[in-house]
Amino acid sequence: MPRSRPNLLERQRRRLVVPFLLPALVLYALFMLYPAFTTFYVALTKWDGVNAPEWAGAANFTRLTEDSLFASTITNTIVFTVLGALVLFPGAMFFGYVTQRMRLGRVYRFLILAPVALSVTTAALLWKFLVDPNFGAVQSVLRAIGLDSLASVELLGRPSTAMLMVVLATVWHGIGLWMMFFAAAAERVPAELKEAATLDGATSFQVFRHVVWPLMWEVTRTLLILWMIQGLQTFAFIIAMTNGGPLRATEVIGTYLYKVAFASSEFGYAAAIAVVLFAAILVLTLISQRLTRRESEQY
Amino acid sequence: MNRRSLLRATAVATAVMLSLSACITSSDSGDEPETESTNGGGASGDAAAEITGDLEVVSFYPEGSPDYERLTGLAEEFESRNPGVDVTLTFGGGQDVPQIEARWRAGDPPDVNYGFLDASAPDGGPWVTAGQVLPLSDAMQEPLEGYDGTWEDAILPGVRPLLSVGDTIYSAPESVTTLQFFYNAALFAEHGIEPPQTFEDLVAAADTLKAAGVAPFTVTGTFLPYLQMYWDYLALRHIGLDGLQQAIAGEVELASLPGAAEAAADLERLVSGGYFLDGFRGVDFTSAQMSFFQGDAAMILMGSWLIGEMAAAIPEGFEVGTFAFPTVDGGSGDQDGLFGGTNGQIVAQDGQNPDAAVAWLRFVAEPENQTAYVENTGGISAYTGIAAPEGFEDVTAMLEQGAAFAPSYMGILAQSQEVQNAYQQPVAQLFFGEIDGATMLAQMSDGLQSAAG
Repeated sequence: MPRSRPNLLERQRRRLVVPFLLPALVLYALFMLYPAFTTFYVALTKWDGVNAPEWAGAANFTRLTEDSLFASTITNTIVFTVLGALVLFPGAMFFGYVTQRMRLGRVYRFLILAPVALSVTTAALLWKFLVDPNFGAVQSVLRAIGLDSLASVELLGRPSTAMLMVVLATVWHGIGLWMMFFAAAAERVPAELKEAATLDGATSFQVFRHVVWPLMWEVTRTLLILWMIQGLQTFAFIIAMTNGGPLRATEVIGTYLYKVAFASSEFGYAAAIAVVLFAAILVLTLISQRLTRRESEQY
Repeated sequence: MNRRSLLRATAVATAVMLSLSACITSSDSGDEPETESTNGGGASGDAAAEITGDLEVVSFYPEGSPDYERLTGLAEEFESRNPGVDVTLTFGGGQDVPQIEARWRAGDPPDVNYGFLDASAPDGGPWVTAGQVLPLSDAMQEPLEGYDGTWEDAILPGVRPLLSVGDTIYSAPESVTTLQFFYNAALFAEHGIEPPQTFEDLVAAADTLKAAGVAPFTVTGTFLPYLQMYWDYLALRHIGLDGLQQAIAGEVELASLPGAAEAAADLERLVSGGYFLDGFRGVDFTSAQMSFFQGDAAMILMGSWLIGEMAAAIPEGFEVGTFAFPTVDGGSGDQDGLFGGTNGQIVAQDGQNPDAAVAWLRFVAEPENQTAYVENTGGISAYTGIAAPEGFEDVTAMLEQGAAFAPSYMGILAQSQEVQNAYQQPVAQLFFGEIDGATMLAQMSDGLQSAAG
């Protein structure tokens, strides 16, 4: 069936939309599309950041496949993301749900949210000095209570503990925000559903597990994807706390990219890493959306 | 998968690209380097009185630091001498270096900068080859106030090679930096220890201190260049600079060089002796330096900037001494070699006020300003006739005689990540007790060969 031509009113309405959209489109093109496409171009060149780029074709991408340093950053990035999710989500969900039911819940929420107001660098340095083996407060407290053997553990100086510390610092800094998301989602769950479950003899945990949690799934799913993106891009806490060490145990894609670009002045190669990271985030986001899709609960 | 999901995912992922895009600017036009310039002559001599306009000077240390305060005082003095000039100080050290570089790429560089000349590279590095660094050769042939002779003549002979590419001078030194041991003089006196001359003396001193319950050395395990210094010096003494440089370039196999095994064995001896302050693997350099000044460790291998950098944290009455990294018995390398460099400042060719920038560099070099720098920061002047701070007299004498430094950190920090990793990680692994000296040497040797392709 041939498409009917829009009438005059509809055509005028469409024309009217264009000038309203134009500023946003120009800004999007200037600050999103142009840099993105330029990065793709730079990834195909050998560029020291100063002199004119030389065309390199796919050489940077070929080099990536042989780069064992890059391979290890992928592993570390995944470890950070998974470990972070395991710490962040139960914690944020717990605080979000529990503070909702407490008398001084809002006060506790404010306290948990407060670190978000700190800059990342400040928060990272705070943690770095808290666990400093010589002058750190954590070590002092451990020694004071007689746990000298624990106090002697160099939390940021051991490959086995450094990543955990970076994850804890990252989660501590941001958990308040995630808690608020979960709290908002939990508040949307109708009280009568919870009351009905309680009347049926469900414990608080059972109410959460079988009533509240399923109804928060859509929010959880979105937050999971957001965390995955944040985890894959992680940079600031690691560069400030460990600079990728010890023994490259916390070297992630973001910090490696930064060093390749700004320490070694290999901007073409760094752009290739950025392109791969972009592709990985795109693919993983799509996969996650598909895997976590469920029939949404209507209430 | 619906279209909305795809668009949403694409938009999110596109944001990642911004992480790199900030460094992509219009500087890559491929134009020929601009070799025509004022050649730094415009502000010399009498012309200095005529300069006007804004002048932006990069400070290596942030606002609030003693060095920033020093520069602020200099800026005020410079403005009073040149009423038409307004000096702005911009922090450009540490993590802010990429921001300054981004401004260069965008064609908006500060006038006076640190870095941007790689004296270890035959061509001076990319900024010089791109014609973005103003040559100072002509200005350097002008007389410099307070000295006999030209500006170039006023610079210590041993420093001059670090300022030039071929016959062209691109940089003016603000100061000299060297790497050596600092020691707690009170602790040494208390335990009857003299500053070690040989590696065996050093180990004996460490044993004495350790037996007395004092950690001989403090070091940071989280900043690899400072761990690397121990290896650099032992390799310099046992192997020599040329061999080590060739090995880093992948031209020779490090493990096959005479003295390499001995250098690795000596480093293992230091690490396995348990001489380093407990917890060093997890402390950053500020903490390590603090522990030295708190008396928790007796020695620290560090740059000459240590005193100035930690001035606010040094307890009153703390007596600090220095000694060069000890010699090694039977070493086939350089027993007198000293790692160091210069805080060279350069003028941006595309800066707003190159004449004022050159005048600033000349002003900083004046004897009274250099003397004040030495007295206030404990740093070493790069100019003739300026008294060295206590403990660094030998350094100045060496540079007066024209002897050159071995490049700090073997110039490794500007190399590719593969080379840096191949050179630094085995050293860190040895310090962390993961491998022994022989394995460290084998890994480093193989890694450098592999990185060289």
